Amino acid sequence: MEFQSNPYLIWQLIPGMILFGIGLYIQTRPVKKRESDVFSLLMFGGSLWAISAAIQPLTTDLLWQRAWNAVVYLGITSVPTSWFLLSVKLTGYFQARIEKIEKWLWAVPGVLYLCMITSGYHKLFFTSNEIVHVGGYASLENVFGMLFYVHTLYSYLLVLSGILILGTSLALNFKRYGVQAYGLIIGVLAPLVGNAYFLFGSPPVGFPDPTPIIFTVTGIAFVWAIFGGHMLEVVPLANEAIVQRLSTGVVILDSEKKIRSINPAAMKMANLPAQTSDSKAFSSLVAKIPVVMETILPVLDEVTNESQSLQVTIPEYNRTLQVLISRIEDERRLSLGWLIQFSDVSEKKQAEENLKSARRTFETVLDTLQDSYFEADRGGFITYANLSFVREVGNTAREEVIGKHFRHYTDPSVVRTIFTTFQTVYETGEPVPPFEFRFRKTDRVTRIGDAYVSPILDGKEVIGTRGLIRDITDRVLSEAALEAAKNQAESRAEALAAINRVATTVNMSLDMKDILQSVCQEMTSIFAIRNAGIGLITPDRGSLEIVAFHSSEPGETSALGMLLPLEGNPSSQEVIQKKKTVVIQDAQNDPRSNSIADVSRERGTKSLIIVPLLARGEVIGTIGMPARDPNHVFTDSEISLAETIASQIAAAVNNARLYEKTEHALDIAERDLEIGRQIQAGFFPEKLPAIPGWEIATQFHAARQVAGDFYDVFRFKNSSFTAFIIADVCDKGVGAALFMVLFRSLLRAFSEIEVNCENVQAQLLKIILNTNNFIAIYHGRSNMFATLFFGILDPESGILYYVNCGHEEPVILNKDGKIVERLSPTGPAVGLFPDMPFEVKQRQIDLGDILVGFTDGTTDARNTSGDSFTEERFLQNIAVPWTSAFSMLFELNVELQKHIGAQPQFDDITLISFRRKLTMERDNHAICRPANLEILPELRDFVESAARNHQLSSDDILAFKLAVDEICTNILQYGYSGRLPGLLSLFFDVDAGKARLIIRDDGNPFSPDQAQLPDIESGWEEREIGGLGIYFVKGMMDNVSYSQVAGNVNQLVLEKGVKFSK
Amino acid sequence: MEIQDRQVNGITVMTLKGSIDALTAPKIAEAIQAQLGKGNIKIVADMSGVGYTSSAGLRVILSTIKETRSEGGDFRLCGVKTDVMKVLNLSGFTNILKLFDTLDAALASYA
Repeated sequence: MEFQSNPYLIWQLIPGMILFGIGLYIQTRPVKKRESDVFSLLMFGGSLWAISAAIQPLTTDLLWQRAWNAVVYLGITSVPTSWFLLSVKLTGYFQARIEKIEKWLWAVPGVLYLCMITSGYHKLFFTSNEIVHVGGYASLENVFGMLFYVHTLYSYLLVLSGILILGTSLALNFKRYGVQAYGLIIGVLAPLVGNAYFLFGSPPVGFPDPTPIIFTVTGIAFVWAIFGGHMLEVVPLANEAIVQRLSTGVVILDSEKKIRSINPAAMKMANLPAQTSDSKAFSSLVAKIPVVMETILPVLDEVTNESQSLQVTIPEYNRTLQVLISRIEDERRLSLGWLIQFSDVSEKKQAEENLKSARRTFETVLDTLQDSYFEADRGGFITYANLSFVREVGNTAREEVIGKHFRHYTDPSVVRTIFTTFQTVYETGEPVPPFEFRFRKTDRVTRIGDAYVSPILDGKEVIGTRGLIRDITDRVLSEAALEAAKNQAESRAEALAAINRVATTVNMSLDMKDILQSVCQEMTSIFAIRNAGIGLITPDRGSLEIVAFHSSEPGETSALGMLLPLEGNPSSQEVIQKKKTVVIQDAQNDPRSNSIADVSRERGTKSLIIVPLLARGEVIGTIGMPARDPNHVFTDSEISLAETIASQIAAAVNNARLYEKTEHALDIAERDLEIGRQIQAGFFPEKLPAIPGWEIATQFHAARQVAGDFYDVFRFKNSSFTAFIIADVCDKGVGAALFMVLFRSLLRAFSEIEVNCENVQAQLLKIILNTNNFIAIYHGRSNMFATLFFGILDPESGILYYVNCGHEEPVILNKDGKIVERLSPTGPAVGLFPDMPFEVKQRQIDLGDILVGFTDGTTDARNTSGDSFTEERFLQNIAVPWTSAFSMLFELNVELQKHIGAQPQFDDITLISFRRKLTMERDNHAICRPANLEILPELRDFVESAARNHQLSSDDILAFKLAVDEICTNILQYGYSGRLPGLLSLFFDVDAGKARLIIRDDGNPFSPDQAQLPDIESGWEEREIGGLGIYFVKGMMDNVSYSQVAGNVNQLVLEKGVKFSK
Repeated sequence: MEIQDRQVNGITVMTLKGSIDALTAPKIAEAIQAQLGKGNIKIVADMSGVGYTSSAGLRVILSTIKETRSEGGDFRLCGVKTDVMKVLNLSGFTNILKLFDTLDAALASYA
């Protein structure tokens, strides 16, 4: 290898090294990678070009020179592309589009370079490249082929394009570039100069290509320009990044109103692809969405130093833009252009739309409301009203109402209330409690509503009021209708109030006449009667003394103090004898009322009612009441109400008499208790209905203090469906007793409905709801309520429909004495609040099942140490197989009484039980006791209460009581003499008008036939002391038969045809 | 069974309360015997607190009548209640007993 010197070595190496240095330096700077990389590439390309060109001629060797020539071309082919890309990236012109094809731009020099190095084969780039010796200097002579010119042309194109781009940008943005502009001008001009020299100059042979040297100048100039002016550094970079990343669209218009800059956000809003170049974006913007520019352009000139804001909707893209236009001015306030900021408020707009639509939905819903709804501003002017409101105030169109003052629709009586209510809402910002509102309709009709008013808030400020008004006029009217339909209940409620007043009078005054006078007055207000007079039977039972009289006719002669002889007064006689109310329809002509026929004619009265005052089964007097209207027909409910009141009066009279008689000042509390007890006792069903296949038993033991327990069993009209009620009215005392009567009366009154398989559930619910609402609405202030179990039994199917209103869970026992279910509450206690939720449930009662209802007085019964009986013990006692519901309650009561002992009973003990008989068997009440004399009272009690449970007459009850006593006394005294005491059992049942008592014992055989009967006609001297007992038994029973059963068990069967109490 | 006694103008008033049966009759008999033992042979039984009697009660009444009357005294009843009255009727005792509505009337009858 032969070396030779290169005279330009230094001139080529130095720029080569500088370029390399710049390329490296750039990479260490905190600049934009995108641009610095391409800049470094340009520098490295130039460096490679210059350095390898310096090295190439150092030997004369062909291969050396060819190899370095190839390296030189690596630089040559890379520089134009790098330059072009740099220009694009620095100016940002066509940037998006160029970057897309960047790799293809690099492919072109790559392919050309490949062609260059393979030129030896195809001669397309260099037709030849051989060493030529010029003046002893061996230089590689490239003879250019076709591809070289392609390459050159392409390179010039790129270089010139780059110059053009940079030049344009410089020219346009000279100010923006500031001091960098000079460096950039030099950097841009340098390749131009080099090019000019290459084209027009005639460099000497061997003079190296000046291009890399020229790029050195460019490099230095750029480094100074770019870094001196911090063009690529972080602050402008950040600014740009911010603008690029802003969600606000930013468009800069020049003074020609052409778009100079648009950021991606703006493009997105204009629905342009993100890569769209600026100028294209401008035309697209105008072309695609003329509305934007059409709206904005005319505004531009109006923009002064204040920014201007407007909203543009682009329907095509379903977008709404908020536009803020500001003028860009230089220091001399000359307009440079405009900054336009776009915010996409579509979502906000959408949200507003949604809000509006939600409001529309809300208003639609409001319009379907039956309740009236309004919104008013702080001035009280209506800003919105729903259709109900519009209708309510008698208008047809909402427009008529909106804008009117609320006062227009307010009844004058409540204007002040409304004013203060609104004022309260404004001041407190809190809703006000519901109050009664009265609408004034356009036709001046007043309607009543429950109003709920709350504030409309904007933040914390009250900007108005909104309110909901429930029209309760209809409810009030329907309640009135209900009252009319149920006037029995209503008048009962009044009657109760009357009774209450009577009771109060009794408490306050012991003067019986005062009491009775007040009762007469009450009667005239309760009934549609002309007057009411109370007559008491005189001690000689010959006349009625009018002790109280009140007339609703002023000026009518008072009958007070008159003595009416019973003789010649058939109507009163009838009342007293039959102990029944007499109703006379035509008092002027009916012979029974001939004694007052004249008075009746004179006063024009016809219809008359005479009610007995029954105290403890005895008539002590009468109440006479002529109707006000001659054609009035006293209804059954009026009669029964009058009788109820009469019984209370009689009790009061009795009390007063008792008081007078004994001349003891009865303890007032005691009297109170007695009244309560009587009220309570008077309302227990006198007779339980007989239901084939079923047995009903009840137990009630009043507390020492009056409590509010009650039970009821009755049949629905024209139906076998049977109601079964056990309840406990809260609290104790006369009040509780009165409410017990009210509850019971309401339940009875509301039960005056048809019940069948289809409607039983709905009807039951209605009864409960009506009762609940009546108490809650009319007696809400008393805060009285009752826990209540209301069952409706379908005796045929055995299905029990029931509502348990917070009452102790009744128990269902199966025939094996196992507790199979507790009927837990299906609703709250009755009477708390109107319209409480109650649910009807149902349960099949199988053959042999017993349903037991009880009150808390049972489980809470205390003994002398204060221990409760407890529910466990209660359940334990009933959970055995029973042959009758009555026996179960009887035995349970025995246990209870044992437990209570001498302790005064604190609460009522109420028990009610239904048993579904296994077959159509007879009731089989039974008890079994160890055979000793101590059990005698219990045996009597058993028979007495069983007989009472079957409503036997008092004579029959006594007969069986005596019979069991006498027979058992015999057995217990003599039957076990000489042997161990065994067991004695009783069975009692009633069937087909015949009561049967079976007594079994395992003592010595004894037949009553063996006994000798006494002579009851004989005088005292002759009378024998024994034998009376058996005489009683035989005399009172229809049939007495003795037999031995099961070997050595004595069985005595006593039978008697019985009468039932009324 | 509650039994109280007091003397009113030389007459023994026995106030009875409760039911009279084989269980309680012996107590009454005992109380009467105590009075007879003291020589009190004019006796009035206030029956207004007695709701029931079986033949056991009648036996006590009969034996008391026999004893008092044999000594010139008597055993009279007052304030007899319905069920007791029924038993007295049934047994024919109303024919041999002197009954009074009120205690005063019974006391007055001894005068």
